[in-house]
Formats: sequence, C-alpha cells, structure tokens
Amino acid sequence: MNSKYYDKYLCVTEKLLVSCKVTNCHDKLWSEVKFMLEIKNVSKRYKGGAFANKNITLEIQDGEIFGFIGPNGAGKSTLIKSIVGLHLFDEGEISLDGLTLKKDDVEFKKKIAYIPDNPDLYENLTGISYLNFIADIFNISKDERTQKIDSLASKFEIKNDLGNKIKTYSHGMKQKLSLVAAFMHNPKLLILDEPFVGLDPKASYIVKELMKDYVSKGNIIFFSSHVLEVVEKLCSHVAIIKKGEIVFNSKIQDITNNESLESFFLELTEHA
Amino acid sequence: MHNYLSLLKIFITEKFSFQNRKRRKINSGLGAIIFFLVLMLLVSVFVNYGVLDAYKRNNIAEEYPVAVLGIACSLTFISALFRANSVLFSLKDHAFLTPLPLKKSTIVLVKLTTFYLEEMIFSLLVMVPSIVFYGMIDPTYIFSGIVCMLTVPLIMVLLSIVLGFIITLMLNRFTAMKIITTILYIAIFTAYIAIVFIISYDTNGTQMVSTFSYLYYIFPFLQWAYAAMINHQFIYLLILVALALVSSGLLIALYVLFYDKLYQALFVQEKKRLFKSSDIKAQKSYLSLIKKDLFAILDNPMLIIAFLVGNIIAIIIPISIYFSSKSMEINSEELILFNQIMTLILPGLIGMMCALSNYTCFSITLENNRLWIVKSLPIKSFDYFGMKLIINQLPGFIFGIASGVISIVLFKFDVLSAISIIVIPQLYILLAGVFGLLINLKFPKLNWSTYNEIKNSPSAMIFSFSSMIAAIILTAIYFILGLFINVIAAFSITLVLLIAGIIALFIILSKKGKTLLLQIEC
Ligand SMILES: Nc1ncnc2c1ncn2[C@@H]1O[C@H](COP(=O)(O)OP(=O)(O)OP(=O)(O)O)[C@@H](O)[C@H]1O
Ligand SMILES: [Mg+2]
Repeated sequence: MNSKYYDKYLCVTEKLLVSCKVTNCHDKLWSEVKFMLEIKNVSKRYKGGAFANKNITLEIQDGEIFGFIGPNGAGKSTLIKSIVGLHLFDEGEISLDGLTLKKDDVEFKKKIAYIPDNPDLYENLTGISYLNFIADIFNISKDERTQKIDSLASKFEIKNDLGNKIKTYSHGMKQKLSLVAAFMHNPKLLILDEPFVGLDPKASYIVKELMKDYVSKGNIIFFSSHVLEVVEKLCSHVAIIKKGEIVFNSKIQDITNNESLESFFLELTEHA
Repeated sequence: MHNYLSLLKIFITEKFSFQNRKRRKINSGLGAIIFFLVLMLLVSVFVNYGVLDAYKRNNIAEEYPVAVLGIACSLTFISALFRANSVLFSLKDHAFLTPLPLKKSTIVLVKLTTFYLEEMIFSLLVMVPSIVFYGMIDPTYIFSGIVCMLTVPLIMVLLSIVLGFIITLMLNRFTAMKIITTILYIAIFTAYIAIVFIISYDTNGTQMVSTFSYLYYIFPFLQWAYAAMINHQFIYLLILVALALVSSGLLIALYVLFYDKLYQALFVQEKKRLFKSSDIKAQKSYLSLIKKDLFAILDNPMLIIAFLVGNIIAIIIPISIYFSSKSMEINSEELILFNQIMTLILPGLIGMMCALSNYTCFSITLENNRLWIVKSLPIKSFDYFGMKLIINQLPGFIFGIASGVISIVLFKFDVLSAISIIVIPQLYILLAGVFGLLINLKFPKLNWSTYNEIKNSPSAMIFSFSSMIAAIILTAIYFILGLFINVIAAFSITLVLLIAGIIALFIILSKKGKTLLLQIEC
C-alpha cells in the first residue's frame, strides 16, 4: 500500500465532502479510506519518576477494536494521554494516517475522540450545553447534532436529564454524556480509558454494540480495561503492558485458541 | 489535641501547596508567599511612617494608633467577609471531614484557627510597623497596641463569620441572590475604597478623625481601644481580651452545637429542568469557548468581584481625587498645576488598577481537573490563548475607557493626554494579560476545591505584584518625562516601551506557550 496515495485520496475526499456539504454519504465515503494508527517507539517519563512508557510500538489497522490491558500503574493511561495530546512524550512519534501528533496536532485531534477514566466535566453547565460546546468546536451543523443527540441520548437513556446541570449527574451518567459527546462527531479513532467502569449492564451492552457497529465502518477503537471477559469477546487485537513495556501484542485468537485471556494475563504478568 | 494538631498541619500545608513541575511543592509555594509578605510589610512601613508624620505635623499624633487600628480592623473585616463563604462553609471540605473519626469541636477549632491565622496577616502587616513607630513616642503603646492587635481584629473576624454564613446561606438558596450578593459585595467594596481614598487625600486630617468617629459609633470597642492606648486606661484592655474570649467561645460553641444543621442548611438541591430540543444551539467555536469561560467566572460572586474590583477602583480614583481636590483650599494657579500632575499620573494609575483585575493569571487554574477537555479537543493553542486574552481585555476595555473619559472631563485634559489616557491603560492591560497567561502556564494550580485557592495561588500573587511594580515604573517614566520634557516625549516613549513589551511577550507565548500547556499534567 502506498501511503502517499492514500494521503492524497484523503485530502481530496475531505475537500469534496466539505465543498459539497454532503453529510449523508459521509460514513460511506470514509469507509472506503484506509486508516491506521501508528505508535512508534514512544517513551514517556514523568518528572522525577521512572519510565511510565518505554519504547512502545503499536500499529493498529482500521476496523480493529484494540484492547490495552495491564496491571495498575503499568502505564496504560499514560500512553492514552500521549495519544490524545494531553502531555508531551519524550521520544517517538504517534501518527494517524500520515498526520503526526507533534506536527499537525489540531488536524489529528479533529479525527479522534477521547474519554478519560474519570469524566470530570464542566459541572455548572447543563448536559445539553456541554454537548453544544463540543459540537461547536467540531463545527457540527445544527441538524446533524440534533439528530445525533436524539439517537445517542435516547439510546443511553439520558435524554431527559440533558436539561440538568452536570453536577447533579451520577458517575455513570457523566460517563454516558461523554460517550454521547464522543460519538457525536464521527471520530476516526475512539480512545477510551476504562469505559465500562460505572456503567450499568444495559449501558455497557449498548456501548459494546455501538463499538462493534462503529469499527465495521472502518474506524478504530483503542481502549484500556480491566474487564478481561469483555476484552476477550470484543477485541480483535490485544496488547499487554507491564511496568511501561509492551510484553505481548497480537491477535486475540492467538491466545484464546489455547487458553482464556485471564489465565494468560495472570501468567504473563506474574512471571519474568 | 493530637487530632487537632495533625488536622491543622494538613489544613496549613494544603494552603501552600501547588502544582510545580519540579515537585518542590511546599517550599516554592511558601517562598512566593513569604516574598509577597515581606514586600507588603515594606509598603506598610513606608505608609505608616508617612501617615504618622502627617499626623504629627497636624498635632494630632494621638489619633494615629486608633486610625491604624481602624484600618487594620476594616481590612480584616472585608477580607474575612469575602473569604468566609469559600473557606469556612465549603461543602467539599465537609464531605471529606465528616466521615473521619474526628470530634466536631476539633474540626471547628481547626477551621477557625486557620481562618483566624490567615486573617491576622492584615492586622500584623498594618500594625507591627505602627507599634514600632508609635512605641518610640509612647512606650506603653507597645503593650496596649499588641493586645489590641490580637483582640480587636479577632472580634471583626467573628462578626464577619456570622455575616458570611448568612450570605452563604442566602447565596445557596436563591439563584437571584447570586446577583444581589454580588452587587452588595461590590457596593460594600466601592464604599470602602471611596472612604479610604477620601481619608487618604484629606490634607489636614480632621476629616479622618471625623470618619473614624462614625466607626466608633458602630464598633464601641474601638472607643475602648482608644481609652486603653491613648488615655492609658488599661482596664479596657482586660475588657477587650474578655470580649474576644467570650465571643469566640460563644461562636465556637454555637458552631459545634449546630454543626450538622448548619451544613444541612447550606446543602442545596439543584432544580430539575426538562430537556427541550430547542436547547440545541449552534455557535461559532470561539464564541463557545468564550462563553464557557464566562460561565465559569459568573458562577461565583467572588470571582466576579476578582474580575471587576480593579476596574471599579479605576472608576472611583479620578472621581474621588476630584472631590478631595475640591475640599482643598488652592488657588487657580495651583489648580492648573494639580490638573497637569493628574494628566501625568492617571494613565498609569488607571492602567494599573484595571490590570489588577486580571483574568489570565488564573484562567488556566480555573479549568481545574477539566483541563483535559480543551487539551484533547482540536483547538489551536494560540486561539485558546487569544480567547483568554479577549476575556481579560473585556472589562478593562469598558471600565478603562469610562474612567479615561471621566478623567478627561474632570481634569480638563488636552488632546494628547486624552489620547494617552485612553490608549495607555488598554495596552497595559494587554501586556499584563499576556504576562499573566505565561505566569499561569508556568505555575498552574489544578485540583483546587475552593475559589479561594485560586486567588491565593502563587501565579495570582506573583502576577499582582509584578504587574503593580511594572505599572509604577511605567507611571514614573511617564511622569518624569512629561514633567521635565513634554507630554509628546512621555507618550511616545511609553508607547514604544509598551508595544515592545507586548511583542516580546507574544513571541515568548507563541514559542513556549504550547509546550507549557502540554507540560501541565492533567
Ligand atoms: N502525573 C503524574 N506524575 C508522576 N507520575 C505519574 C503521574 N501519573 C502517573 N504516574 C506514574 O506513571 C505510572 C503509570 O501510571 P498510569 O496512570 O499510566 O497507570 P495505569 O496503567 O493507567 O494504571 P490503572 O490501571 O491503575 O489506571 C505509575 O507508576 C504512576 O505512578
Ligand atoms: Mg489508568
């Protein structure tokens, strides 16, 4: 595959989409373009601490749900924060389809959505004004946002709460609100840090279905989790991180053909 | 007792800690505060010396100790009233402390002790130099002054706690109260500043005495302090000590007794509102960003005040100078000279006051643990900074120009001075805005829980001090050039200095700003 060719193709289609203001065939057109997240030799060290990420290299193709697992303090959130541009990493480069994070950060961020492990939102805004804010930043037209908010918020059953201030929301409701905000602008790459914490069974089911549906359109989902059963069922690929280093990175079938992900994880993180 | 001390330690270290990239948490926060205090003390020494000198020349030196005590009291009262809301009655604190196995009395004592210690700083700063200076005239004042310094402000603190609770209660109950309280606070503050200005511009001191005599009526214990300090009736010192002890004991007892009821009363349930599809609105992204920040400011009366105080003072200054000059007996020649001096001083002074209500120096801090939102969104860092600068300039633009126009009318400015009093403050606010932004990017304090921590954060302190010093230097340059050469030279050189400063800081911001923002861990 010639990446230059895809760059050009991407550019042309994007311009076309913008100039024609075609929103209906948006998803379809994008789905014909190949996307790829490349993390190359990324190292990150917090001031005065040891390496939280050491020389991490991952390559994620479109249509993949990529699970990222590891013990507490292994460096999952640290890598995720590097990918979404929350902090500087010392070495390496992260790119999404030719757009590098260090050079084209704004263009890069237009294509991603991120939900942190602890959804601290603007407490004094109402749910709907938060969604409006996010949609404004991404330049989403009024019709499109109405339609998206309608379908997503009703799916998560928070539509009636959107008029209330976020400070009245429970943890799960905040999680749901940030999910709505994330899916609203059709990100090419969705990055979730422990997305299932605090969600009720029905909501996690919906999230899982949404995720499957989403990658089938050629998008990428990258998420960290401690719930190995979910990772096992949902992901096509998985990487295991331990003390800042990737100790395993492969298709999920390679493990599950022989044993469960749980026993494999426990073995791997205990020895060596 | 052990619990008391360990909790007190936590409270005090919490006050001084802030995010620092070098992880020298406590030391650097403490350093900034000590630096600030020493400078304040120096200012106080000079002012005290000047005031005592003026009183001596008018043969009313014996009024001086009470005047100083009055100033210390009113400063303490104002500051405590403004802070009681967020320091004492914060519900987050309450949620963290209540489940711990602590006695309510311990919690209350620790809260009040830290509050009292912080508020004492004002009376210490104001009164310690006076005790030294006046102690040389009347040695008994060393003793009576210290007793008064410790007791009288304490009574003021207690008073303001009671008032502060009532205000907080009203604030939480009614949304409209937010506006009313804000206006009330601003009115109190305006009146206060106006009085201080009228007093300090009064030339022969008689008005000061008469102003304080009103205070005597309101607070009879000032009379007792007078009797003790000036007339050496030391029995009144005993009365003051007794009053302080009894009233603080009473307050502590009431606080402990009604502890649960108090916090229950403070807790509010948000009103629920049904979502309508008409709530979905589209806006330009930069307007949306500005709106988000304005909402964060408007959410709390304390922040609105911080945002407006300097600007209000900027309006009051020319008016109060004008009226106090009216009460002076000067002839028309002197009046012309006076007006000329005003044309040389006011541009810098107004700029300084407007820049004092700076927003950028706590604008990053204000994002708190929600900084991840803007950092992960596709916003150009320079757009983000620009939006903060616009918000910073907004009140200064309105109040600064209003104050300029008032000055032009009152002091009969010529054309060039008129241009300079409009242009210089605006440029200075911009300069201070970029500087404040850089300082805040360098020293952000994320994870705060009360608004007070914002105003006390090192970046806010470093900013207000450097901005004041820069403004004084600039005003001095303008004044000296204007007086000895002419206004054209003064204006053009100041303009060049300001623009050069702005360009230099903008270059730093565009080169370093993005990296600094990325270096903030969130
Ligand atoms: N702001 C910070 N400053 C210094 N060190 C940090 C900071 N944040 C994280 N660390 C350190 O970096 C390492 C990795 O932390 P990280 O949050 O990435 O772990 P994690 O894999 O997400 O853990 P968990 O499963 O508990 O969420 C830890 O050793 C942690 O102590
Ligand atoms: Mg984590």
